[in-house]
Amino acid sequence: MSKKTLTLMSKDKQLFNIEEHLAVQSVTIRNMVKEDGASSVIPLPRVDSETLALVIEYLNRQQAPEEDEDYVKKFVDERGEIPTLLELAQAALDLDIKKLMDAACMKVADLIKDFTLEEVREALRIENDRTPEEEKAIRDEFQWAF
Amino acid sequence: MSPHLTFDLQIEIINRLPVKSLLQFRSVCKAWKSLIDSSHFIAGYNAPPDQPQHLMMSYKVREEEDNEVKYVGFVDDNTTFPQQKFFLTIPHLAREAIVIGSSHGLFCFKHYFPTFGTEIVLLWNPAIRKSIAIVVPNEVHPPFHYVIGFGVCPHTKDPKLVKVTYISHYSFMGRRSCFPCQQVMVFTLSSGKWRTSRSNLVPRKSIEFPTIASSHTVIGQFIYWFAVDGTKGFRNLIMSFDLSTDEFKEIHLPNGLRKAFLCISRLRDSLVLLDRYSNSTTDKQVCDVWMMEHGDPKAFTKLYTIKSPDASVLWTEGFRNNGEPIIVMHDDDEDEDVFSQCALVVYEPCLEHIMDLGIRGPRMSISSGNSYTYMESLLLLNHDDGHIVEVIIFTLRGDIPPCAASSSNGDSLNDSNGGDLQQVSDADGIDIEIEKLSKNHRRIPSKIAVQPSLQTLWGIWSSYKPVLGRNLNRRLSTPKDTMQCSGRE
Repeated sequence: MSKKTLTLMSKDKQLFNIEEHLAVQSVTIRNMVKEDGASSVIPLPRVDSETLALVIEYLNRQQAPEEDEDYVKKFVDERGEIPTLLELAQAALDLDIKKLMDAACMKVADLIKDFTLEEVREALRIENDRTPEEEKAIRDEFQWAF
Repeated sequence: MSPHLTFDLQIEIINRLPVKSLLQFRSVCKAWKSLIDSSHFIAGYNAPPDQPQHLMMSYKVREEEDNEVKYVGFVDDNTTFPQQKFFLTIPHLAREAIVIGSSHGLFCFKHYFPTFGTEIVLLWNPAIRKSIAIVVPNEVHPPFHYVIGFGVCPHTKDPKLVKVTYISHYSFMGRRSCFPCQQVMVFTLSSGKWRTSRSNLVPRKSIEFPTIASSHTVIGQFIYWFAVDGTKGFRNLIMSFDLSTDEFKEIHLPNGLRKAFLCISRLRDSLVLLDRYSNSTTDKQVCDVWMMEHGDPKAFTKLYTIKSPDASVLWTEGFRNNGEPIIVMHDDDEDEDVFSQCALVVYEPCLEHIMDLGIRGPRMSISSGNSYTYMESLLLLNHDDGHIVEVIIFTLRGDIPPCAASSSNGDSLNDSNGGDLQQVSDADGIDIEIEKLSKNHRRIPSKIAVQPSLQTLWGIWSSYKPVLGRNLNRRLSTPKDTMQCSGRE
């Protein structure tokens, strides 16, 4: 049986080819293939081309199953920048690639665990929706932890 | 600037943060706080795999003035142990209490107030420094005794207490058949209530439970006790209680035990049986470690013997996460010599090597403690610290002179010092039944419902003297005085 190839399209309209049997490590893609045969291009409107290139690099890996854990850990470790990791984690979550999502989120959590509140908000692009007084009241519940 | 991350992704990241970061990051935004505080998140949370295990050790050195039980925490990893010690903020109220056990990062203590016949159980989460108290219902009288078991159901993450009332052969030499069967009550934190188990979920009448902590251990969904069956010439056995079905089971001991001194413990996720005896050639105390493999009661295997050529094993406190036992040894030949030196050590079974933990004292001054490995958890995060579950009901018993009856009126419940004693029952907070005993005596089983802070009640309980009637009024109305005396008796 010849190896079928799928084409994935990033948010910025770049096309990426990948063999179907590797692409279906993503549960989302697997379901799309099942549903409509996926003869055409699969659009991924939330994933930019840089992130998609990373995802494809990961999906194309040639690791023995027993080395897989170490590989995925090393794979995210080499991309130690929080913005890159967040994009990767978001893509892995959307595409339902569990191991990649696990490792990327674990890495982000590890990087931010000692951040100040302001740094967390900045890193994860979260708005503070509390007044300073409200924030202080909540901090005071576990003042010893700060 | 990229768009905002989906909240689903934020949840995935939050789920992988350690406990301390979660306590801080509750303040990041409203959505994070409601997520972290939600009972769903608390129950589903597991500390990330790269977080170290912790080891809590309790011990008592009697020569020191304060006579308090000491607690010390260690980071139980393979590289730094035992260098990384940490301070444990034991709740004030637990300092004189006894540890019952540990499960899912929670510790359970109990403290008995004989005068009021009241036992309080404290659940404490050291990672978030929160504790709550639960009143154990219904005092029992000889020949009945009871044991409290504690565990967190691994499926629901609901902390559970079980109270088993049994007949003790020490207090009762007659026939058990004339007594009703054993009673089992189960408390779940989610319900906040004790309820009585159906009679088909009760151990056999002849089973007696021990009350020392080294005879209680929690593994997976089971609480285990080292128990005794009073029918067949006092045969030892292990009782298990299933935290998800409330069922009891009996586990027979393996053949080949010396049975000089037996207790149970937890080695990682397995039940172990510790069999201590005197080695006939060296005359030193040694301890066999038997493991129940794969949770199969029929599969006990002997792992190794804890022994040292020049010291005796006094007892085994527990096991490190890597399986090494923590033991108390003493160097001297004379077992009976109360001045000989004892030390808390870690034993390496393969090398038969001993690592001193720097905790030493004369024998008889270090009393038996326990060591528990645990992972940090968020349990109790959505409970108020120091909260008492359910309205406190305590019952006074005794023959009270007639004059005392009138002093136990509703007024006494008001806290004159502006404290937090508050009456909660409908009928003026007090409900007294008077039963005429003789001409000048009345028995007054009175139930007083109050909802004070735990600290206030603890003060009252621990300093209350058994001069019934005369003191009740004063004690209830001056909790601040009594709090100062507490802890010295």
